[in-house]
Amino acid sequence: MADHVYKISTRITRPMFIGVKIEHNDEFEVTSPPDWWPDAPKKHLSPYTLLLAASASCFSLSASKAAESLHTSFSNIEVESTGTMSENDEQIWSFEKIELTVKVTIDAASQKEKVGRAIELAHKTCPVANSLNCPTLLDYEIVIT
Amino acid sequence: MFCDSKRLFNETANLFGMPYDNHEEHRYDVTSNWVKEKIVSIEIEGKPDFEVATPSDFWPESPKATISPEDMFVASAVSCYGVSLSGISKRFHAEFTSFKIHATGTLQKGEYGWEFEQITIKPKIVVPSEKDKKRMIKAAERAHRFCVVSNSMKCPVHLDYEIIVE
Repeated sequence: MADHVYKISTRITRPMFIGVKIEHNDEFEVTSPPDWWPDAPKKHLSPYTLLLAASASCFSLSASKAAESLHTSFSNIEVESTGTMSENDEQIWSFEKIELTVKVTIDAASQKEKVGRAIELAHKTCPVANSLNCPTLLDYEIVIT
Repeated sequence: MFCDSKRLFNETANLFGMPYDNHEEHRYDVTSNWVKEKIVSIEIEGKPDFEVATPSDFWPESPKATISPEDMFVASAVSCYGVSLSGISKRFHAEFTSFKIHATGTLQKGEYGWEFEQITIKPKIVVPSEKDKKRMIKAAERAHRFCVVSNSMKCPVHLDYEIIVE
């Protein structure tokens, strides 16, 4: 198995816009979000939405892996990730919390308990959540179709 | 200390799109949906959807042109630094011709599985004069201190900048 090393390059493309290059992918631009920069173009990702996207996708993929290790599966998983910032006494801003609202769909009621364990396991083992200072709060439901 | 007052920082933020103290709530929403085994989508209102996959170091068959959560985690830190540097250098009147930033993040086994051990951010900033270099040193360090993303990370985020006069 390869080393777990991730290399990213960025450059300034124009004032306030950063080009992000990830190996094998086209460069994409990132800028401040509209709540900090009212003139920000709406179609651009911000560093903050990238972090939340990392959190949401990490959880989904970790849940899939956990389900596999517990010999169960689900037919769908939807994760909504909401991040809230706050400022400390030294005027330093950071994420205060990330909330994950998860809806897992399964076909058989018999799998509900195992899938619940997989979701809890994913919450414990997601590398992104485990690398954050702020808490990642989980709220999930399992739907049987 | 230069530019340490809240007022000055808020001015910088207001001008260049960085966090400032306006007592508003700053919330961001992202949705991830299942696509297929080891691949999910990311949907953010008003932005194009894209797919995310388990990285190739954990899944050798991972499609190369699909980014991973780990890629995005490092990308969020380095792009946050870049956006901060772009704004703060202007506030510090530190001119630059260009800058490029390389960042590397590494995982280690933690108590509950994998977690980031560290991220190293290496900016290479080209400036036109020695005067700009002096100012840029302060801007480079200040951008690191105020980066929202690295301040939200548990792992150390190292800054190793190089400023070249050209």
